[in-house]
Amino acid sequence: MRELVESIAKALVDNPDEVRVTEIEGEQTTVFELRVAKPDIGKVIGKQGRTAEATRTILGAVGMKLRKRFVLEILD
Amino acid sequence: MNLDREELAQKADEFVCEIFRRTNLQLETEVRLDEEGVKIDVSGQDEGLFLSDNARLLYAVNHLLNQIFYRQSRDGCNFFLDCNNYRRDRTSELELMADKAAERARLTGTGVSLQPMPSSERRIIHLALADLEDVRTESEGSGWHRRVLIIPSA
Repeated sequence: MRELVESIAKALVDNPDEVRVTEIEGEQTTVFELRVAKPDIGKVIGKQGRTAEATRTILGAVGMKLRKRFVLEILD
Repeated sequence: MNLDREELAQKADEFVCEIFRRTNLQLETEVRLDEEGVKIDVSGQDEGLFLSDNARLLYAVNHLLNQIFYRQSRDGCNFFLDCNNYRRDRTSELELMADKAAERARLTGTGVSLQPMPSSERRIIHLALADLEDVRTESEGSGWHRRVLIIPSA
């Protein structure tokens, strides 16, 4: 799943080499912390947060299949 | 980057397949090009999940495609995901919904609000009622809650 978040982020940004995703696994919830280059933050969030929302929707759908909760946090 | 449509179609298809692979969704794609842009048709065992909740997942993947590949295209190429003719069937459903809501607005003389929808679906409603003189349409709310309001113009 970490690779999924990473591939989506890398495709969205101008500086794919600076994409970092850390996974914090809990019992029911897994948190993904996404860090990108400063000028790329807008690209992973999107207008009115739509791109972040889309990524979370994809995580949510997989979570439903695996009966797990995935949380995406974008850090700067 | 400045890619032509064949290259874009191929890269977009690879991206969608990568998402399906990494999420373990049992779905396959078929890609084609037409005058509107790149069309990717999705089918397989997980169609139900892909289209559930008013096709949230379909629209989410479609949004990512547009965000990633539109700016890589030479002439502003658009991307359309579809699954099981969802878009065509949904269009007729929305047009019917629009007609019924307009009728109710006319009869009751008050505004009628539809369920929340993504922008592409709201557009279909606005267009379906654009030629009517006795009702007008507006959108209200934000994000996933944004919905069309049909208002009698009298």
